[in-house]
Amino acid sequence: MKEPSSPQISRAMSAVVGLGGAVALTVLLVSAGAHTSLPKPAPPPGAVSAATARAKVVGRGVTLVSESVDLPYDSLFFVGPGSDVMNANCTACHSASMVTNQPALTVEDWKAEVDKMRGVYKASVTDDDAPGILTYLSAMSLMTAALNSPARPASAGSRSSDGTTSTK
Amino acid sequence: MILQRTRPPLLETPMAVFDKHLFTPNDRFFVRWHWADIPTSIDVAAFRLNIRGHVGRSLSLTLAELLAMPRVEMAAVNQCSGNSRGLFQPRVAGGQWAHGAMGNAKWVGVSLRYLLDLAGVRPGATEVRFAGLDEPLVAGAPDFAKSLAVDHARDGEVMVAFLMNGEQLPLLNGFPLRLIVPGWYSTYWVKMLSEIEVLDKPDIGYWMAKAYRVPDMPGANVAPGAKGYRTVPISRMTPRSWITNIADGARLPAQHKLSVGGIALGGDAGVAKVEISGDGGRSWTEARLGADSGKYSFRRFDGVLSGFPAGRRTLMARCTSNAGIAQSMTPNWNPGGFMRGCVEKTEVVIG
Repeated sequence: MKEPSSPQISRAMSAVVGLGGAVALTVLLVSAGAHTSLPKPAPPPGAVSAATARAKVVGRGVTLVSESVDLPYDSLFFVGPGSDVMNANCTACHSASMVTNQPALTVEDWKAEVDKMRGVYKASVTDDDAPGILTYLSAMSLMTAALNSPARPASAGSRSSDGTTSTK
Repeated sequence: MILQRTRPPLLETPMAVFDKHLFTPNDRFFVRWHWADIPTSIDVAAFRLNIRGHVGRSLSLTLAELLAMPRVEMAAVNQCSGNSRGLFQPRVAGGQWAHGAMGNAKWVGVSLRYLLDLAGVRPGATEVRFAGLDEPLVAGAPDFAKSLAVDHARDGEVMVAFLMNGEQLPLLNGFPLRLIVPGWYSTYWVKMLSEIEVLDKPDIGYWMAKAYRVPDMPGANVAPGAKGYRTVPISRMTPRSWITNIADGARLPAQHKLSVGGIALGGDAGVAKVEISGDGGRSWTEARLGADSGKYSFRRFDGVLSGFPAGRRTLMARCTSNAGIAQSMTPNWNPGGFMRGCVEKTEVVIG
């Protein structure tokens, strides 16, 4: 394995643990123990060697040193009825949390997002899968609206005093 | 850090950090990436910065060559276009940031003007486009690239930075090189900068022509649901201020005098004054400003409010920039959740 990652990433990884609860709470589609995890994939062949990671460039009092980080593997997945189509299509490019952190959006808002992912960002979502994604997202937003009523911005919501907890 | 998203990373700086540090520590600096294919290692010996396009001669510069060039230094705030998007009402889609998608740092690097002059910008050049090493995971998706007008790119302030607060940049903040566009939103501050392309026609790429566009109105403000208005690429930041020594929702003991402090940003014009209020904006007291680190930096403010009967109180800070622009008392709104700039409220309970 590579060197320990930056403090930022370490903090991110510890925050991920907390996020698991948040996702389960937000989605609220199945019972406890809802989120699953997958093992972190092995580093690809030819990953940067320790020797390369130590290379330096020096000039006029400034030294730049080769750098590498381990980005945390995201072990959070969509849960509940209809989640298969979400996990098959959405998490290839981004975390489930990007979706579950969204406020309650209308069906039209979600359709615009799905259309953007397909049309602009070239997500390989088939015509067969698109309706299931929209159904899941709409159901999630109904749940979010119910949980957040009366409205209070999630991002300004509960945080520990040191500000290290995440999201809703 | 507050984790907004693991992949691609979105990390938000907690407000408590801004109370302790006028210059945001590198390992507490907010992180935002568009695409998940981010190089997780950078070999400084192999890295090249390419300058090409409508120039006299294309360049492929090593980091050693950049370190040998004349340097410039500047303090500047890097703020996400969507900072505070999570506070928009009605809510909008996108990264649900509170106020921590920003940071202030001392940047050292080479002036972009120096680099462009080295390559020789040819007559007829219109814009300069910037791209980094990150790439989309999916073929055909638009690679992230942003452009500035040639005159802006050559204004002597835009720089290619290799030091952030005296150290090399963290990889997630763009190591080894980041474009610094003082006074402008972070979308232009391209990370892992590897390509500078001089164009002789307008950039019609997705990230300029379709994304990061705002209503062409003061404060980018439109009514929710409005249609048919003209949009322009997001550009200059506006004045903002935040009370950082008292958290929103805090319960405070009954007291006659209350110290209120925080940070202010003049947008692209420096901080002229900051006023504070303990009665929801009915009366204002001018705060004392801290050291001036330049017109693009955060500036500390501190003041004392007196006469606090027990009960719920709304604390506020209002920044006026050196361009004479004061923060609005009412929130602006647009569907992208960009450019929030209103006076923020810190609700407290006294006694």
